[in-house]
Formats: sequence, structure tokens, C-alpha cells
Amino acid sequence: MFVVVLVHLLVAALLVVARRQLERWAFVVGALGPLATLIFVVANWGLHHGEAVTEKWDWVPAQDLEVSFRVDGYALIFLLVVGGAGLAIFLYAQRYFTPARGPTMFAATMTLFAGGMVGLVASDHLLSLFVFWELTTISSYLLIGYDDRTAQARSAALHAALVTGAGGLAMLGGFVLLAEASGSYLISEIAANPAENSFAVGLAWVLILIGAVTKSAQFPFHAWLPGAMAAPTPASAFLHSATMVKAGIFLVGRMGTAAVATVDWWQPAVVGIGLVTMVVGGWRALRQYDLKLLLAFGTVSQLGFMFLLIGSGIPELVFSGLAALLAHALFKATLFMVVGAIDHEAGTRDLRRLSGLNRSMPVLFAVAIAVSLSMAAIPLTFGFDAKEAAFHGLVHEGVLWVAAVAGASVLTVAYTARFVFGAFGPHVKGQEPAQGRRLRLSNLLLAAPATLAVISVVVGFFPALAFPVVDAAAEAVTGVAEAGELLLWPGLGPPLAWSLASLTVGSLLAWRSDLVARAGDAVGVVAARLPSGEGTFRRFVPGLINFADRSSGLIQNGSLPTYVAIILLVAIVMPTVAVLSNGATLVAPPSGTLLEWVLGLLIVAFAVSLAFVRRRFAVVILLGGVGYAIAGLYAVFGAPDLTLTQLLIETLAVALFALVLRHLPATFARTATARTPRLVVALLVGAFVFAGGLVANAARTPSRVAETFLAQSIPEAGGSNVVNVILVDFRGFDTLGEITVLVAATLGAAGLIRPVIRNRRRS
Amino acid sequence: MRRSRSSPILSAGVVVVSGPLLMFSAYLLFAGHNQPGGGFSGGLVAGVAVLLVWAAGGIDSVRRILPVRSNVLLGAGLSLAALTGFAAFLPGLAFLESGYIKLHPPLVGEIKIVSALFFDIGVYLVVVGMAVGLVKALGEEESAEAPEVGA
Amino acid sequence: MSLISLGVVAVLFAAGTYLILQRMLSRVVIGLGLVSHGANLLIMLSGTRPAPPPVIGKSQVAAVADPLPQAMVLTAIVISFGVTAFLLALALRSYLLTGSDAVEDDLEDLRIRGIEGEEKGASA
Repeated sequence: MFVVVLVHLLVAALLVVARRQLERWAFVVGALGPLATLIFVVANWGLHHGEAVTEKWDWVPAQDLEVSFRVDGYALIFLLVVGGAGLAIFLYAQRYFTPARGPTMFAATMTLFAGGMVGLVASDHLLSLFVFWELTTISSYLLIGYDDRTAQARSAALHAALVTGAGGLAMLGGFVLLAEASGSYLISEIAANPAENSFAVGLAWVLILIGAVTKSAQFPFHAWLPGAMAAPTPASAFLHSATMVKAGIFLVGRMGTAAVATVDWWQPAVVGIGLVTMVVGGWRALRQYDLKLLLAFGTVSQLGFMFLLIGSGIPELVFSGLAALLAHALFKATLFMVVGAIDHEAGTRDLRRLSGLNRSMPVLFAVAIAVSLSMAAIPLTFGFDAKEAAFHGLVHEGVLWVAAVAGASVLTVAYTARFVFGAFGPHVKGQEPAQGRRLRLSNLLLAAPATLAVISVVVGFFPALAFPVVDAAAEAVTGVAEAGELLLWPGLGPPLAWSLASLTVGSLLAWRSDLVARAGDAVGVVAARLPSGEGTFRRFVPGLINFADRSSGLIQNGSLPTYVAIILLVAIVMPTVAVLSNGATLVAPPSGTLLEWVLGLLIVAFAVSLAFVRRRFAVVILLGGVGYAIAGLYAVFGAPDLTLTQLLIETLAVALFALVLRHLPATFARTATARTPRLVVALLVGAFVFAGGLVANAARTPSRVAETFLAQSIPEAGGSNVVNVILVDFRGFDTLGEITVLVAATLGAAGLIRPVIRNRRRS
Repeated sequence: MRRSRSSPILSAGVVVVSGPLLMFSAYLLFAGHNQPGGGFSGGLVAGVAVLLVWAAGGIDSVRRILPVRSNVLLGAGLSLAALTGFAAFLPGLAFLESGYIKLHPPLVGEIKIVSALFFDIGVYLVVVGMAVGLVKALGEEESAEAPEVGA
Repeated sequence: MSLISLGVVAVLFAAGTYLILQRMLSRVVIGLGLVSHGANLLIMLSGTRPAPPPVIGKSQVAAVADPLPQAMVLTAIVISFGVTAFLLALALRSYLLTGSDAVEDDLEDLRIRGIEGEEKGASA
């Protein structure tokens, strides 16, 4: 598994390094990544009954941080999608881009993304899952914003990155909470022993759900996905329909069983979100004229469908959801590639202007029809097999469940019809028909979607081909084997009745599309008054930036004293809050000996005058006075070494100050800094130190280290002055560091001054 | 700021004082392991002596008395301290771990040589180098002429 | 630690802070010196009372002062001297080159404020 991820990273790096040389073959080289994934999938084809391939690499063993891969049947089905769809789309992209547009970086980013996706689905450690998750977010950002000259692409990229990034952060918080409660960061262990429900665990599940909802573009965070259609079509097909948006679904499936066992709101929440997303996405798809946007909203709707099935944690639904996942990857990636080909050849994606492509591009038409049937879940297609399995499971859960999903499926049928007739039917009267180059469809641009379509059709007729993969995947997360069936003909019964009902109503909707349009306008009037996802985001971001400008303008006003004051105030407030909330015992200190009082009052007098005196030689003398008096205090407290050092240092320091100040004016200039705030902050700092000293004084215990030092000084180091022994022996390393600092400070000071003085002397 | 550079009384006084100061500095360095003192205070005493020499005769007399560049002192001190640390590897000890040997030369009695002494000498050299370096850098005159007063 | 020494520490911190909170670099250095004096005293004195020095053989081991904070403070004294020297050199250089050792407002920060001001002006 490491090898597969590594291949992706290396190929991406290679594409970046040799971007000139590889320009012609960028995507063919990039396809090595998905190819490696596919080889891995084929080599482990037979995984089932809970078997898994595990690999582990200790990253930071002390922190229990590791990259741990565990590929079971569930991961394998996602790897199949990533590798299969990836390979097809890379080959398609090779033809889609003309080398003149410099697609090498695009190919590199796509490869990087594919690697992130592979790592994501294979991760067993929550934190490595998060890292790969964010890798996909970043590469998605780069791919959406690939055309960085258009403002729309940039803002769509930012929108997607902010929404999924914020969701990812929430998810990370959830991961940490969950792992701390469960005692393990390994998904396999968390799934085996879910943590008991508590406030923290409940919150963790909420946060994880937010991560999944944003990533998979579920309501109410679905708005970024249609925006992401600003990306070139290969990226849309790969990231925003086949793989990345399924990461959220992957997550709810991975953790769903554990979540359902822990919190009772999970199942209704996931099902509710999925259902609303299905309806909103399907409805919006019916109102689009841009073929790509139509598919995007269709994807939102389909994602809702899979989200509710796979996240529900009910074995039979998970099974059908995984089948739907395979079917969706096949038909949606294909349809995106078809739209890309149409756009490429006809020069437009507006379904009002397109017409008669069935004659000019017959093969493309056939491909589109084949997979569209699967999308609409017409019998004898893979989509139908999957949906039938879903209805079978939903019927067991209750009539309300199946009715809701069937109702939402009506929209799927209707927008599929809109897509097919829009693209290939007659153009709308009054609209200028598209004037494309047409008929110059290259074989490669056709080969990839055609291959996927053929697979889709074959699997539709022989669903037993897909059964082992789906069954192994479902068993890996639910523990139940053969939870559902994939049948070409399910036999008469309630599931078939629901299927036919939604097909019929959907066809009716498609037939009377003018009615839909009128109803849509009516709904639109109401909906325009409701806050929409896009609108909220558009207002939110400038507001946030404006807030940031204002607050940084206020806090960061460029004045050094203000910054220092803010830092000091924070340094005062934080420990004060901590001490006050924990409580502290105070012991009244002794007032002090006479000698201490004499020296102390001297220091106080010197220090206070220092703060206000402006004549610089007075300053030098006062500074020396403070230092000498402090040396006296050290002597009182039994520190002759300190006294000696302090006296000598003070002598040197006074001389140094005198040397420097002789260059400066005789008095310090008055500066514009306000006095009162300075005084207030200064007094606060003083009071804080006084109170802090009282607290610390009461809390101090004699250090054990000191006892050891006193006992070991003569036998170990052969010295009886313990302070010196500590400096040169016990803590010698510290001293070595200290003298290094002294050397650096001296060299720095000399280097700052000497050239300046020499220059002045010369001039 | 006018200052007498070559006041004969000051010069004479400095000569009288700086000798004992340097001896005191050496005493502090070598006694420091057992009495108050050590490389830091010893080095600082020597630094004060350098300062006095500067006050009496300016930069030039500092250069005359101590013909070593301050950077050499700094480098030598740091290297000596670090080498003492590495030397502990030779007998298989950890970095900077110290040892001592007792010598019994005639007349003097027992002398104990501690490896940490060499480390302290390194500290001493760095501190002296710092004092000399700072005095030289900051004590340099802006004007190239000889000291103005007392010529 | 006695009341008076704690008071001394507090005054050193307050006076030092007062000096740090203004623009003349040379006075900021003095303020920093006062604050490091205060910090050294605090480390050295908290939880102690006058005691004989920690030199073995001169007095009862149980009665001597704690040598560890002494060693740390000794280091700190010398280090703060080195830092003071460096800062003084910085202040002097600033004065020699620009004729003042005052720290001016940061241009980049002022620019950010300017942007904000423009936006306010545009929206008003």
C-alpha cells in the first residue's frame, strides 16, 4: 500500500520536475498512479470475510503517531473506483488538453490528488486519514482554480476550500475527542469497541458528521460543488463526481456502525440529511441549462442517496449503497466525459443551443444513452440493480423510508431525461443553435467514456460480477455477509413496484417539463427569499475579511509600545484567571530583616527615579546603584557567587552605558507616548508580580535536585562550591550554551557598531 | 564628552591596580571550584581590569597590553569548553562528564586536578573576550585625532 | 521571601515596564535591565530565607541556601549583560545612522490600517 501511495507522489514530483520534457505525455505518465492502484486492487481481489492487508510505519513512536494502512473489502471498493475511474479519466484528459495549455501541472495535481485519495481510504490511523483528507482538499482547490485568470474559478476554488477545509478542521477535533475517549487512534479498534456515549463522544460524532457533510456536499453545504464545475472537465469527472466527494460517504460508512451503536441521533440525522440533499440536488438539476451544472446538481442528489444508505449503518442499506457507489462512478464519470467532449467539439454546454448531436456524434450518443439509462435506474442496467437492492432494504425499514427515497428518485428520472433530450434532442426555438466544429471527435476522447459505458452495461446484465466486491465491502463495515442481492430481474414485489412508480412519475415530469418550469418559477419566487447556500457564503466571506481588517487595524496599529502593552496584559490575565479559578493558599511572608529593608528601600528609590529621570548620567549612576544594592541582597541570602558576579557585571554595565550614552544627547527626548496608560500597565504588572510572588512563595517546596547536588558535589565532581559545580559540571551543557550566546552577542554588538563608527571617522 | 586620556596619575594608578586585579582574577578562576568564584567572576574581574586600562590610556593601551584580538579569545574559550566536553568521550564517559585526579607533588601537599577546570577556563576566556570586545567596539572614538585634552 | 524583597521585585518590574513602554531604545534597554534584575531576584529569593552559602564544609549541609537557583541566576545575570550590550549597540547604531534611537511605527502595519481606512471611506 505504501508503494502505491509512493508511486503517486513520485509521479507527481516527476511531472513537476520534468514538466517541459513530459508536456506531451503528462497524463499518460500520471496514469501510472491509478494503474498502480488498480494493480493493487487486482492483486488483492479475493479479500472478504473481514480479511485485511495491513502495513504500518512508525512515524513518531513516542507520540503514538503512525501511518497505518489497513485495506479491507470496504477500502478496496473505493480503491477500485479511484483506480478505475482515475485510469479512464487520465487517458481521456491526455486528449482533452492540448499541450499548448501546459497541462503538466494539472496532471501532477491530479496525480497528487489520486495519491491522497488512496491514502485516505487505506488509512487506519485517524490522524493519517486527516492528513490525506486535507491533501485531497488542497489538490481540489488547485484544480478548481486551475484557470486562475478568471475570477469565477478563483472564488469557486476558495469557496470549496473554505467549506471543506472548515469541515476538515471540525472533523479533526472530532477525531481527537473520539480517540481520547476510545483510547485508540486506530479506526479498526474504535469500530470494534465504540466508546461509551458521553458529552465528549457525542460532540465528537457531531464534528465528524460535519466533516463528512461538507466533503460530500450534503445539504446545507452543497453549494460549493456546483461552483467547483469551474474546473476543467477531467477534474470535475474525477474529483467532483467519482472520488473526492465520496470521501465523506467513505467516512460515514467507515464509522457509521460504531456511531449508530453509540448515539441514537446518528441514523435519523444521516438519513434526513441525505434525503433533503437528494431532493434539493434533484430539484436544482431540473432547473439548469448548463449540462455540466445539471450533472453537478445530479451528483449532489446522488451523493445524498449514497450518504443516507451507507451512513445508516443498516447492513442491507449499506450493501445497496455500495452497489450504487460503483454504479454512480461508472455512469457519472462517463457522463462528465461526454459533456466534456460535447463542450470540446460543439463549443457550448447550453442545452438550449445544442441539437441533433445524435446524428453528428452517434457513438457519443450511444455511450450517453447507455449510462443515462443506468442513472435513471431503468431495468436491466447497473443503476437499476443497485436501486432495486436499496428499495428491497428500505421496504424492510418501513413504508415511509421507501416512499421518501422513491419520491426523490422521481427527480433523478426527470433530470436524466432533461439531460438526454437537452443534449441530443432538438434545440429550443428562439435560441441560436451551437456552431461547433463537430465530427472531429478523436478516438481517445471517446474511448475512455465508451469503455466505462461498456463496463456499466456488462455489469448491468451480469450483476454477479460486482457482487463479490460489494459484498466484501459491506461485510467489512457491518460484519454481515450477503446482506443484499444484486439481481438482473428482482421478480415481482414491492421493490419493483416502487421502482416502476418512480420511473412513471419521473417520465411524466419529463414529458410535461413546461409544468415543471412553471412550478419551478413559482418555487423560485419563494426560494429567492430564503437564504441560499451560495448567497450566505458570498456574504460571509467579505464580512469575515472586513472583520479581520478592522480588528487587525485596531490591535495592530504599528506602535511598538501598544504591542508590548497587549502582550503584557495577556501575560497578566491568563495566569490570573488560572490561579483564581483553581484557588491558591497564601502565607503571610515575614516582613524581613533590617538589612533587607535598608537595601530594599534603596533599590526602590533608585528604580522609581530611573523611570522618571531624563538626564542620562543620572541614569547611569542610578542604574549602577540598583545593581550594587541587589548584589548586597544576594549576599544576605547566602549567595556570595552571585554577589561577586553582580558587582562585577554592574561595573562593566555602567561603563558600557556610559560609553554608549556619551554619543547620545544629554537628556532623553520626550516622546509622544501617553503617560497614563503606561503608568497603569506598569502598576498592573507590578501588582501582578507581587501577587504572583506571594502565591509562588507559598507553593515552593525545597527541590530534590538540590539535595542530590549537595550530596554528590564532592564525590562526583570533586568540588565543594556547589554553585560552581552545577555550572561547570552538573549543568555544564547549559553553561556551554550560555557562553555560546555570549560569543554571539559580543560579535553582534561589535559588528553593529564598528562599521558605523569607522564610516563616520572616514567622512 | 572630553576626557583626559593620558593623565599620569591615572596611568600610574592603573598600573598599580591592574596587576593585583589580574592576580585576583586568576585566583578566582582556580579557587572557584571550592570557594566562591569561578570562570564567570574571574573573567569579569579581568574585564574590569581591561576597562581600567582603557579609561587610563584609551584603545591603544588596551591593544598594547593585550595584543590578542577579542575574537580570538572568544573562539579559543568556546573551543576549549566544547573540547572538554568531547574529551569525556575518550574514557567512555558522557558529554561533559567530569573526572579528577589527585597529585602528590613534594612540599605542596595534595593537588586535585579536575577536568571541569578546563571547562571553566573556557568560560573565563569567553568572558574576558566579551569584555575586551565590547570595550573595543563601543570605546572607539568617532574622531581620528588623538584625545583632545591633556596632550 | 520577605515582604520587603517581594516589594522590591514588584517595584523593579513596574519601573522596568514603564520604561519599556515607550519608544526610546536606550531607555527600553534600561527598562529591560530593571525587569531582569527583578526576575533574578524573584527566582533567587522566592521561598527562601537568609542562609549560609552552599559551600560544603563551611556549615551544616541541611542549613545552606539552595544552590540550584543560584546557579541559574548567575547564568541569567551574565546572559542579560550580554543581551543588554547587544541592545545598546543596536540603539547606538540606530542613533548614529538616523539621528534618533526612537522606534517608529511599523510601516507595514500602518499600511494595513490604511487599507481598512480606505474601505471605510469607500463604504461611507
